[in-house]
Amino acid sequence: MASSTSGSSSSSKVVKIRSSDNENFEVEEAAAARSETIKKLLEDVGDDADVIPLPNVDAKTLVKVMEWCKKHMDDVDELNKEEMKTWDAEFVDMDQSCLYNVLLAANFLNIKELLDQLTQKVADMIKGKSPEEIRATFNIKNDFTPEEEAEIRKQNAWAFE
Amino acid sequence: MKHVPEELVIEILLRLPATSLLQFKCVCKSWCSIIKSSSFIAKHLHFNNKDTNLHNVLVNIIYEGTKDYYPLTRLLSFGTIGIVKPQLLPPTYPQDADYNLANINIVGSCNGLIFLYDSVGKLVLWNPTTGEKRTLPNCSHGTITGRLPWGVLQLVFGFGFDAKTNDYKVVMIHSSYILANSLTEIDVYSLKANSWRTIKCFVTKSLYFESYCNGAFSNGMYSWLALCIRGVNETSNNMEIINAEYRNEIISFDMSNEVIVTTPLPPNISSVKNKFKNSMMVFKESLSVVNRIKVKNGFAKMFDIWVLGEYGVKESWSKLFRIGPFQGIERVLGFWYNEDMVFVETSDKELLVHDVATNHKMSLQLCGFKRVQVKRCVFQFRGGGEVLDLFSDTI
Repeated sequence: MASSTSGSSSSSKVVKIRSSDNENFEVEEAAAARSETIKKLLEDVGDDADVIPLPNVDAKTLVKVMEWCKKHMDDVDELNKEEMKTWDAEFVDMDQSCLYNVLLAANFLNIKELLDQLTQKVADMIKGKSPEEIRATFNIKNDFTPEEEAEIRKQNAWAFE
Repeated sequence: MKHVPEELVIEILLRLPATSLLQFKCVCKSWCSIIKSSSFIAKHLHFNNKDTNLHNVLVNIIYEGTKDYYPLTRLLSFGTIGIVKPQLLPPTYPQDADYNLANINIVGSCNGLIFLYDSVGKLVLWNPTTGEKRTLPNCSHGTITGRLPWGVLQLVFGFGFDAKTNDYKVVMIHSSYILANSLTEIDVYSLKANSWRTIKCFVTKSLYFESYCNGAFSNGMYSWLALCIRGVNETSNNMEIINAEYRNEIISFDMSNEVIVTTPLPPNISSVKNKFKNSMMVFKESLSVVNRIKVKNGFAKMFDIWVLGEYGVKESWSKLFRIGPFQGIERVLGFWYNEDMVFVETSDKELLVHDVATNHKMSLQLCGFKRVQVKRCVFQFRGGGEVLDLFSDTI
């Protein structure tokens, strides 16, 4: 059983969350509450909460997401903005399968700021790619007939220059 | 990546530039229908409006050669004021012999779209970012085909966005002089319908549109500077204009409600003496009038920036600030980031970006032409990444 405890003030409240593969984590409430989903669950169950199950997120991904939440727990002052930007850029710089899992988790956990950063990362990643590369990246089946595809390419010919 | 849910695909696509989106239409049917949907186009526009790095500046210049005029249009990046693409004339205007005299008039820009017309009567909607263009069909009034009868008939255009119907509209008013309390016919082109229709608008003032000054679109209204004439005996066949009073006013066309609204200028800049001294532009989403003042006993000029709060309300004008006095600067053509950075035209007809705070001047060095004879306009436009699928849907 892995646990992730906070290094900061001992007075802060800790909540328990459980990943889809049944690992329990202890995180500061302020960090966990960056997730609107967890925040709502906490409000619903009140203080009786034992462990909050997160059936859609595996342990590896949850560790990653909570790392972000801890970093973004407090309001950032102007001085640390640049530092935070660098940290965020490094954070989203992960391999594709990891990025995919964290993206889905951020969506499920409803962490808007993280979702913004991740979708931006994916957009930057695919910006210069060809439609073929996009299909390969996202595992998309081309459901156009060759004629239909040719027609769309013709309509938007200048975009392919 | 395995399966990315559609809501996330939309979030990712929102962050892509128009050229990528148009390419990605052929990824699969579901991506294609997302990118083509009007809700996505609206969202994409809204999203990109927030990012000033995606804004662009369009500079249109008429360069006078030895005997001809060459229109030069350049797209500059808002962030760097560097040229985005070297050659950006609309594709309808090859620089061949037939078009040497083509006088391209850029009427306005809105959400990354430009509306322009030329002296042979062609009306074009153009997205300089993506290169898409559409030549408008002829209007039933027919006066726009063939060479415009300049000086005889006054033809003014406006261009803007109707937020109510999510449609772009071009308006055309042709009249040499509009009488007070009269119904005037205005032709309105809708991009969605790709057709013209004629509407009747009630005008409460006798007016004549000023042609020396560009119009401007902001907050759903396209505005022109006009000369309003009061005290004309309208009932008489021979108009008695001897005792008439002339005033500069703003005439605006409300794109959604399709009505004309008139707004008097502030008293101190509305007299006809201000002809050629007033120009209109958009300052931070608001309609503004720039009034040029000559410094007494000198050649320096200063510029007062007035901003309109509410259309039709004379009292809502406020003088925001004054820039200058400057030596050798003839005109303020537009604003860059804020009131400190302005596009100006020098008395040598050079285009500069002037930092008012530091007095630093930066030449735009457009196309290597040292002496540009006639400057037309500078347009800053938003949402350089706008997707114009409205175009392909209706063609």
